[in-house]
Amino acid sequence: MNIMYKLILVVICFTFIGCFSYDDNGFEDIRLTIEDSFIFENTRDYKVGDTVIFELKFSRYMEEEGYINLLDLYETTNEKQFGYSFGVSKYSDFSKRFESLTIDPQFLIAQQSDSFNYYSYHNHNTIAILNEAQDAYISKVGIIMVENGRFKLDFENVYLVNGNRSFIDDKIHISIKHSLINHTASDFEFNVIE
Amino acid sequence: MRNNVLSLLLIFISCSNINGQEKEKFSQFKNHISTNLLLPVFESFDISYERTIANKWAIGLAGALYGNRGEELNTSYDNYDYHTKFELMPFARIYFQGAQNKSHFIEIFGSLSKVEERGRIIRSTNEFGYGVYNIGVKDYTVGGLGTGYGYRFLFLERKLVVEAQIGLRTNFNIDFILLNVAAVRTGIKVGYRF
Repeated sequence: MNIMYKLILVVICFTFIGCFSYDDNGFEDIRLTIEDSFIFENTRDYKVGDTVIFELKFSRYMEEEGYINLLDLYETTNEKQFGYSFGVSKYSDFSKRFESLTIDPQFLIAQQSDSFNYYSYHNHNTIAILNEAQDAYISKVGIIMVENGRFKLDFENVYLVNGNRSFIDDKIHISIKHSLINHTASDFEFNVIE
Repeated sequence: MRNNVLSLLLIFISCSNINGQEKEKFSQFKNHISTNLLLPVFESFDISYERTIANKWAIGLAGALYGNRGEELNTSYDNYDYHTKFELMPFARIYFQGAQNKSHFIEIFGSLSKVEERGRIIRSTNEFGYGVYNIGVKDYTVGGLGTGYGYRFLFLERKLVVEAQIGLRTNFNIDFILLNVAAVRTGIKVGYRF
């Protein structure tokens, strides 16, 4: 009977083996990273009515961890645009910290697309479009400042994606995470006065 | 009364002789080949070789080729078109009534299978030297473990084997082992002992 117990034990162990395996059947995203890709010539002081402008630019050909050759984003996805979102916050004397703002579209000059209606960390969805030379994706954004105060653009936790996720599509999904390496969050702070 | 006792004694002796003759009559077969009659229904085929190594123990090796309907042996549905092309299964069995008799048995087996997954993302290099992802077919080898229970009948002087068996196997690279079981060693098997 001793051997029966051992057999039963082995069979039970089989049941748990799968728990130690990796999840191979979830969504298969290709994950890439870009660094310091937002260009913001911050003059620090603006007036109400000024337009704060920044640009996002990243190459169509990107390094990918584990591979020596660059990945061609356009040929892989066949997408001429990548969606992303950014944040704008304003310092509050009440809370003594920056509070997230939602900007009305009439004060936002940016290219947007209904096909990028995805969940994101930030409030303002926009797109980066493949340029005419077809070697880089570029996004130019302007924010018309209509009130004074101390503001900050938030480019952390920015993810660029090529379209919405679907259970039934057969698209290749790429997610590009933007990180600030040589910049700090304070580099994107500015004041707006009357 | 005395005649009755003598008659019973004679009957007992006769039966003992018959049993003794049976033991002498049937050879001790150590080798056994068999095939699963259920697998052709799924456009598949298997063959097993088994060697008796002890009174109750046998070890063996089975090989299976799976056709397109072989996927129906899987008990779960995956997003991917997951197809096992062929499989090698070393196994060990314990026969509770002895390896030379008709008997219940429990089996534990390993699995090494060649798997083809359609609809997977494959990276390749294009004519310009850039990496490109496409949706294609991914081939790989995967290990697994399984267990089974069955009953073995013996006919024709114990040379002909008929087995009814339930044998389930899972692969290591798939999560939730109980939901990804494949009934690869389940069915009615016929075989020959020598």
